[in-house]
Amino acid sequence: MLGTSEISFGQISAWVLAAAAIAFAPGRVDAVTPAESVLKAQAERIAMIDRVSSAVVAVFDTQQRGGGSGVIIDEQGYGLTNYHVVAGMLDKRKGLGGLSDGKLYDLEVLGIDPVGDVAMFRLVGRETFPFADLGDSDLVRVGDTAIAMGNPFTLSDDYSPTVTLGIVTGIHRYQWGVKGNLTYTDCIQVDTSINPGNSGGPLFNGDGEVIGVNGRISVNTRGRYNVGFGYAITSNQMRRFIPALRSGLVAAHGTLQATVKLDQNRETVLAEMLPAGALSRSGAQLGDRLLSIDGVRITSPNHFASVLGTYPGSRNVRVLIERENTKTESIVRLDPIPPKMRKPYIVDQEVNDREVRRVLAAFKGSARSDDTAEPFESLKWNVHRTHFALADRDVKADQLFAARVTTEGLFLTEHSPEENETIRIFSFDGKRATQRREGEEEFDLTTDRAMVLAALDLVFKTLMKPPGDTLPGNVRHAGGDAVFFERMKDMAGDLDAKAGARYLPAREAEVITWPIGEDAQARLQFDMDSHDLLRIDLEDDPSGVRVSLDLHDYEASGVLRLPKTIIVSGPGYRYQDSLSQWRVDP
Amino acid sequence: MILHRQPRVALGARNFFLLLSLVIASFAVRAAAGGFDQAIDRLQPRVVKLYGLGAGVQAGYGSGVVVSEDGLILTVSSLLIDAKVISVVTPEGVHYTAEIVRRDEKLQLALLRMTKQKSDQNETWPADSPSFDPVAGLFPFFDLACESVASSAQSSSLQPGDWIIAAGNAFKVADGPEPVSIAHGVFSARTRLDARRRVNDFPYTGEVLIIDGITSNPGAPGSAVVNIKGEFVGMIGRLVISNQTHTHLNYAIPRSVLCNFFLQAQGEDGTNDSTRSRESHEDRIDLGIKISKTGYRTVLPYVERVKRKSLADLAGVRKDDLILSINGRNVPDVAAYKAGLNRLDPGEPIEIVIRRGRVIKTIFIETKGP
Amino acid sequence: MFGRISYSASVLFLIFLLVPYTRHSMAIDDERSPGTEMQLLLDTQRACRSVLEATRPYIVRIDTVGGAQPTTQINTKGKEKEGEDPKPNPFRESTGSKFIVADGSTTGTIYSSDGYIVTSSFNFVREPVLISVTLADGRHVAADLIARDQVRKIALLKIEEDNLPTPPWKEREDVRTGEWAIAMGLGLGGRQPAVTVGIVSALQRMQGNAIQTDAKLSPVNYGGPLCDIEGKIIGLCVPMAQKPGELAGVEFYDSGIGFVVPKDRIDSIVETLKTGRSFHRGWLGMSTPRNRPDGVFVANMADPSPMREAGAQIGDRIAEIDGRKIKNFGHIIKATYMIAAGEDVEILLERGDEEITIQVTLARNIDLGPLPELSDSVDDAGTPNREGVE
Repeated sequence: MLGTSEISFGQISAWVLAAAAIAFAPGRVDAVTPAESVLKAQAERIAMIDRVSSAVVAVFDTQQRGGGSGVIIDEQGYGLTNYHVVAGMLDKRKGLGGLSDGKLYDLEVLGIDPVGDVAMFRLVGRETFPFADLGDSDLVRVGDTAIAMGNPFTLSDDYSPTVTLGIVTGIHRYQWGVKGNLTYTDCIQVDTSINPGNSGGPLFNGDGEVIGVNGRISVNTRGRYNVGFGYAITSNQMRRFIPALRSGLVAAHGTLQATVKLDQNRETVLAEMLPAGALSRSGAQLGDRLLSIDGVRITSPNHFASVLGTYPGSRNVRVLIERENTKTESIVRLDPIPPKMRKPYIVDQEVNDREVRRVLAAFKGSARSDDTAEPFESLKWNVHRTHFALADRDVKADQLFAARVTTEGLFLTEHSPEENETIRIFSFDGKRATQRREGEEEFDLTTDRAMVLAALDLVFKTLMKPPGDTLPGNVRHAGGDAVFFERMKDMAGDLDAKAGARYLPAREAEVITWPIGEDAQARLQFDMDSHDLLRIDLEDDPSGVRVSLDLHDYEASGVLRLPKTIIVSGPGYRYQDSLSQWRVDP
Repeated sequence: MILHRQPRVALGARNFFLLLSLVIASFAVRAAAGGFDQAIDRLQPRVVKLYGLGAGVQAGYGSGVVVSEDGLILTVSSLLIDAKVISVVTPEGVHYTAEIVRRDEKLQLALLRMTKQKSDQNETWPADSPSFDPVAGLFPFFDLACESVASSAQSSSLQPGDWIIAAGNAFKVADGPEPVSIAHGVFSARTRLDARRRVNDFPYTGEVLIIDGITSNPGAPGSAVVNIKGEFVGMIGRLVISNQTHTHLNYAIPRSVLCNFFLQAQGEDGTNDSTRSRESHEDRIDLGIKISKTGYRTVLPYVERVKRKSLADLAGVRKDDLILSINGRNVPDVAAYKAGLNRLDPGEPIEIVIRRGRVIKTIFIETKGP
Repeated sequence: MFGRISYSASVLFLIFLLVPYTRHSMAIDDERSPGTEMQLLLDTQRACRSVLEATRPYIVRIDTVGGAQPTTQINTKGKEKEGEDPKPNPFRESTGSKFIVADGSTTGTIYSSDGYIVTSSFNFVREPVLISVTLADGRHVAADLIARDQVRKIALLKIEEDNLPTPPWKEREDVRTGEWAIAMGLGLGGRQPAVTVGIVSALQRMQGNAIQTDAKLSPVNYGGPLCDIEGKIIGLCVPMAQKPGELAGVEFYDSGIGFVVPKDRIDSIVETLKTGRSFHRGWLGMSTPRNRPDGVFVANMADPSPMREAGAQIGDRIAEIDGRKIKNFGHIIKATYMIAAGEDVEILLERGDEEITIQVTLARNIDLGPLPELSDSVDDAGTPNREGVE
């Protein structure tokens, strides 16, 4: 059966004619009208992209060869990128950052995390910079919208980022590193188009929050092009490293000095442990079941490595162990693993000092309301039912204390409420801590008590006097840590109590180390978000005595925001003090 | 049917955050498009990771789709399953070995059966483990529902522009109990496969679903593909290069083709229909056209002679006509012309486009079926 | 706006919240009614189907016959006189990619009702002897290649037809980063275009000649339209990269790095192409020494050459081209790869303490003279770079 198109023929020709009828109306083809919901969602996405793309940086070295990407996360121009993007700029720690305003800004390389492939930079040249918010990457789910921005193949002439859309295609992924560095642990996998040059650029969720930094892709035989497999370091991992990175440090990752294996019930149990290692020190034993780290349930040996890889060294984590049906939660300080580097990375002191000043200023920013810009000369407060671990005898339960800090030093006075007269005065002048009683000889306090006074002195001095251009010698920003508070009975919403949790979820803190006298050192830990001073740890080197002060329940009190609760822990004791009243003498 | 247990991380914390976000509604942090949830939920428990033989660029790992509750796995026929031991890892990280039930080299498909759990030093499970017991046969699976007419209707209800979601073990990103990787995209078009692997033409030349997500990756063949509702529409085929574009092709073998293979494999009859029909057909096509062998650079398919009363003659093909395409497929040279003829199915109507002087003509030839 | 980019709560987010996260409790055969989020995806997919249907009438399939694989490096000099020792042209044209061009069908887009079809020059790199166009109604018609723009990768075909359906185009200023972008193409043969869906990735690329998309562009849809969600054409799909060469950019295929030429550029290019004039790569006609950290210097100039004619001298430092700072040789390529022969660039030269701005009209490489032999090659460290030699 044969025919040509000229002869109308059977089924095929009929099909052709039908097609002609449908498709071939001459003239301009009309646009179509999609559903309102589609247009609305598109408009919102366009608005979101417009909003956050100004925070995306095209990162170059000073010669503008090649390049990567980055994202600004605060208005001072601090931003995140990959370590491998800045690795070639470490000699001078200088580069260039292009923004979507079409301008190139000078870029200063700050701290680096070679193991986690993260680095921090600062752009200079503008009063304030547009920035994007870091989201909570623990909320990311497979299937979520994932939008990448950056400068793939350095295509951008005007430094406007390339925006690509995809979804999250895997979470908690582990991607091996190169000789211990550039390891992607617990990372987010996306099918968003990510290509060379996207490195260091942000991965946004549908709300325009940064949930990760894109740094790696899988490639096939085609070469270095996207094939739908991109990996991003999570925002929550980076958040833990930001304090160290901002202050110009080389970040070390942490280890528990232990390995786990799966037992017959497919639970993770401790398989190996270094005797003096972090986990061992906490009292864990081989064969114990390791249930969770910081509330994250550990499912496999790989997962264990993946979760741990997201933590800096010398940082506290909550570890939940089960032995013979008893669950024990403890705070374990991770041992640091210094990264392997060809050349030592010398900390830029100026960068570090800047961070110390920023943290202290922010602390005061939270502690003082805006209308009292002037430093004040003295600070007083009244204390009920306190001991401060100072009074060695005869302290009544309702004894009233009054503390006063001046530029001269710290004075703690014990009053008798009935007769309203001074009983004792404790004082610390920066070197010596003494106790004096009416009609008695002055004597030095024991080391731990002196340290408590020194700590209080430090707190209130930093409250009273903002640091000027010159900092006290050897005050350093030492990165970040997690501050855990023990669960208290009156705390509502005891969600994790069933799992045997003793501690509240961590407060991420920045750590300032402050030498006291010749031998002692204080670690001041400030909340990263509220800037409140959360804890002071003091250690006296020769004696090995350690005390710590926890400061809780910050409240506005007049012009100040001050803690209502102070917990003093020393060798063998722990006291909780409620402060009833604060007063400031301008 | 037992619910699939997905490995969960920080379930407590996760629920807590969910609760939190529901409570403090005005500060919702999760407004991401979660519309792929249903598809992903159906995919992940039904795709297994395969490990076997690898050589050179041929990955020693792959993906498979569970198609029966007693552990039948559909995958591609590749070097991987030539391994002495084919290992199967389920989404919850349980290891099995598998044996080949059937493979078809024409379709490049294989059917495996999970046999026994594999124990190794570190990972052994007792009989009452929460994993699935192959003897009792309780694997979550995609029901190909080949018998039902609905299944073919379902597959064809997929239209170009529709979302598709795939899941598989590409790049073996997922390890042990981790859920496999997801890829999303849209269904691009239906076409017949005209592709090659290295220098060899790919034997399967039937219908495929072209998709715009990238699936042409090591380990991806054998991945399951579903529509937005999680309905199974196809399986990612072997890695090929398109003859038409010279690009890596991202495609899936449609459910209907998988069904044919699956039913054959299930049936007693050991013969292979797809092979028989094609091979026997190749000899029978004779349109009565002789092609010119001369030409510059490329040998253009000019008609040198048309046999009288042949199919071509009766349809109107003339000497000196230049053949441009056969059934919508460009034929730039004599080799392509011959390949085009060989690709035809018995009884398939032929549409030849020729150029005669300045005029381009379409000529229809109907051949008889087998 | 330099201010804080912060999350702001809105009514919309409340809607999303009403969809509880239920993955962990999902039953296998649960026929859930689509939630809000899935409903949105279903609505989007419906919109994509409509766009695909709407574009169908003006997308044409192009089949070519004959031609050959382009060689990677083309020496188009060909001017040597007989008997003379043929010297290779120092300014060799490169295809820009090692991609092997297939001989399958390609795609075109009807430009005007009187038979003009715009497509990508990529589809004709094999220099075919015959071109046939298949219209949406199934008719096959012979087409003539009128002219092509090898720089912006556009080609213009003409068929003898009237009353063709023409597409609605989107004005460039109405395009937004992040909006849906749907590309269609007939590169897989047949009658039904293959579709790919992405978003607009950036608005100003390739020196303003292109809009970028993450839709999977490839030989399947080069020459086809990239449409918005309403079916208006954002631009014509072409391969492009920041380097010259007819095949440059094909290596990006399917990677989510894709480029389309928007309406304003298409219109102006087509205007010239209609006259039969093609655009070719433009050359400055000079060489520069390798590896000088202090900048890019003119080491030698062909005679004749655009640089020589514009008054540049050997030893001049090239500071800027069209306002772009030039710090290394690659920057020269990045500044000129989108400029065709016959088009101008403005070059800022540093000569000693002087700054000189010259206007240079780029030329085709076949119009460049030979590089004169230099007596002293103080500036010449190693093999010099010549434009476009990679």
